[in-house]
Amino acid sequence: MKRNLPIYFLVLAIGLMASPSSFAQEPVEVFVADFPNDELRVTIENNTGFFLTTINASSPAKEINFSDSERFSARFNDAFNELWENTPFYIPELSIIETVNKLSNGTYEMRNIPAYFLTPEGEEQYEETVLQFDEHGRIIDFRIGLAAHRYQTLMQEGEDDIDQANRTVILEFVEQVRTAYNRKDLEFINTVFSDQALIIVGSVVQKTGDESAYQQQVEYLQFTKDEYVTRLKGIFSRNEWIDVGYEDIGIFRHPKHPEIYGVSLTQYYNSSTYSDVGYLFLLIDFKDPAKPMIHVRTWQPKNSTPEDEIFHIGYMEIF
Amino acid sequence: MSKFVIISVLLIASILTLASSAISPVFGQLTEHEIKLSGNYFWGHGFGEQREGAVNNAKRDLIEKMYVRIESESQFSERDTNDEYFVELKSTTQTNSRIELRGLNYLPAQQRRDGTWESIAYLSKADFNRSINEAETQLLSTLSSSLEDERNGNINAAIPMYMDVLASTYFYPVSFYTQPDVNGEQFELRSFLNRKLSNWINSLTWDLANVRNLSTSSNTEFYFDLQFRYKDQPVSNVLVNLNKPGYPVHTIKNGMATIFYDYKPDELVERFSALLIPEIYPVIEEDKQEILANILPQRQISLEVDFSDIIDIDIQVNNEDPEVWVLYPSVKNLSVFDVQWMFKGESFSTNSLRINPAMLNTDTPVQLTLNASEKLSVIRILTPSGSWIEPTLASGIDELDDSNQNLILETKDVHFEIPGNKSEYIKQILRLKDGVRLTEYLNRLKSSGVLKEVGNKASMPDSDLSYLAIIKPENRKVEAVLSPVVEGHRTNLNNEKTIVDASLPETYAGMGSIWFQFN
Repeated sequence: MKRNLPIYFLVLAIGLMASPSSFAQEPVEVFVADFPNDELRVTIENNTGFFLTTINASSPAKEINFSDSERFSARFNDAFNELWENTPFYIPELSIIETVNKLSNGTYEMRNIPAYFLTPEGEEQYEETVLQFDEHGRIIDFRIGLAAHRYQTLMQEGEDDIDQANRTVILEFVEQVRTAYNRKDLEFINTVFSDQALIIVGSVVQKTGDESAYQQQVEYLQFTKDEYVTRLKGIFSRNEWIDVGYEDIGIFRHPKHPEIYGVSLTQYYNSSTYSDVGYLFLLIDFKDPAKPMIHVRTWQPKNSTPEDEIFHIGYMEIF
Repeated sequence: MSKFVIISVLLIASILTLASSAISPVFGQLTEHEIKLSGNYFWGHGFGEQREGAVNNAKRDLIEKMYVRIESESQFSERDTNDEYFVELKSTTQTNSRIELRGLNYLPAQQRRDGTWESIAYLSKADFNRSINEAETQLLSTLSSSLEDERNGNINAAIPMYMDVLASTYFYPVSFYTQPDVNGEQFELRSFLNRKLSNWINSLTWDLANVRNLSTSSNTEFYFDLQFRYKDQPVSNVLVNLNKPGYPVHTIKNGMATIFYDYKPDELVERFSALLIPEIYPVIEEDKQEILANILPQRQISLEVDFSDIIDIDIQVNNEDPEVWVLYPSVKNLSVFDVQWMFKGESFSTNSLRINPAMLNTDTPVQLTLNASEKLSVIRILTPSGSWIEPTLASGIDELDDSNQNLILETKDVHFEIPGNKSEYIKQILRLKDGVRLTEYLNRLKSSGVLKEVGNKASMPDSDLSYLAIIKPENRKVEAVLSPVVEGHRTNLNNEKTIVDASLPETYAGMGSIWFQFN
């Protein structure tokens, strides 16, 4: 990270100079549409505007102070700075009009906030981010979200109101897991895996150089939760940055156990020392909707796995 | 090229892209800001990998938002007044792709920073309200003329229009209300029509008009003619479907439906369940038909079908072998799963009865009972020569003459009490509706000494001791069983009504009678 700081500054400086309405100097205006509670709407607009404006005005090298308890929850500042330290970003729009949805746990969510994340190599990566608010409009979470079109499609596939509500929770959960890797948040990962979780990790150990798509040499390892967390700790410390991306997300509800969901997705894993693309499968238990648990995590390399061999919820036996 | 230059080029390119990527209308067009924040528009924001997908999703999002908005606006009153409607309104969000919105507009679709597309669909609330008002006027006008049809006794004209208006309400994300009634009350239109259609189908009555038997030796083929009415009007616009897998749906036309049935019954009277389904008129538009198919009320009904007229039971005897005679059932149109014989005080459960002729030195009754049902029982009397004594019914019934028809007959209330020791026999006699079986039963009672005598009316000795069974000659149905005469009157034991004895020829003109006396 620190090795690349000069390039960050350079990129940001050029960006700021290139436009007369430079992001760093202009406040970001936020408008919440179709929200029934005017007082809460104004609070969310003000807090979000303040948050985004502060980000654009901040240097990637320095921690940002988001500890104002009127605007942010107590834990927000630390969690945000973990992400900021690993993957800083800026907001490329000065006027944002969005809706805010109420979630089943009473919190609120604003999606589709555009952001450019800056890699240590100086590349910009477009992501859509999500802000979560408590019932008073204070910001409690910031995470990298799914792209708007993927989120909309997955929600439209909901069979009924309950399924749609569950999907909201699942996608929020998937986004949190993804962002936890970017933040190197071991505590969160430790919380969401059940103690008896089956975890299969794979890594591409050698490329054959052959043209065939299915000839990568892949090493599979099975871990307990403790082994997995220990391994991640090593990975987090060895890598200056980690960026995880998800695509092609599929949500499957278990036919016999409606509180069990299978989530399959294509995972793009990039870090300063290693990268791969693979199929990830998570078996998530929503018995306690406030505390979803991952019982199974499997990974298969994308290039080595024919479509019909991708892990699926139907392969799981539920006890 | 140095890394610095590459980054600079990328960055400038991204800034230029950025400037054009937000949804920005051309000159004179509404802005995203006006659409989303002015409160004057319903709007939806759609995203997609392709432009078309984004536009479709924008429309879908708009409709879902409209439902949510209207639902939340009307939630309080609807919940208070009608829970059923509230649930229904929610469910309609699943069928919203059919909704047509007059005045629907889009901001030009734009490509986003990640290469996907976005589109904003919007609809002016003023335009929307105008088109809703037009729709309301049209729906209420159709409803009014349908109600008029119903009031004029033409329910068959009113029902298809009720259906059409009901389906139409699903095309609008608002609720409509009926015109105030005489009490000034208004009802939510969809609930009102649902109630109308439910009341209509639940008020239908039906009768079994006829059972026809077109069976051949190899195929069973029955037809039940059913008559359906709504109040005093013959019903149309309804389908009836027997609840048996693979059975066809029959249309009720002018109050009549004929149901095909190809199973042999195993009882004289069988009960069937059937489903009444409102028929959706083919002139109703196709998308409305799809909606109606999911929402119209249906009704389960129970049909009791009397197969007496088409079931014959008899006993055949094969006496070719002088050592062993074989008796076997002769049965038409009945599914037989149990055969019981009663012969010389003993019971046998065999398909045929083998008897030694040497044991027959006098006329001997043989009783055959099928499917363990008293109603499916026949008694024949076998002679020592191996032939049956024929039942007296065919030749023994005397037709009631009507020579007394000009007498002035006054009915008075005369009470007849069945003697206690005879009541069980009378109950059994009243259960038998088939004249042949009744005759056989009476013969059996005579053989066993319960009855003193059985005969036709011409030979009746004492009318004050003789009961009368009235039988229709053409179908041998028992019409009535009458008590002995008390003070010139008989009591119809089936319905307890009193009848002047001298009026029998008039009352039962063309029918036959047999009498019997108890010992």
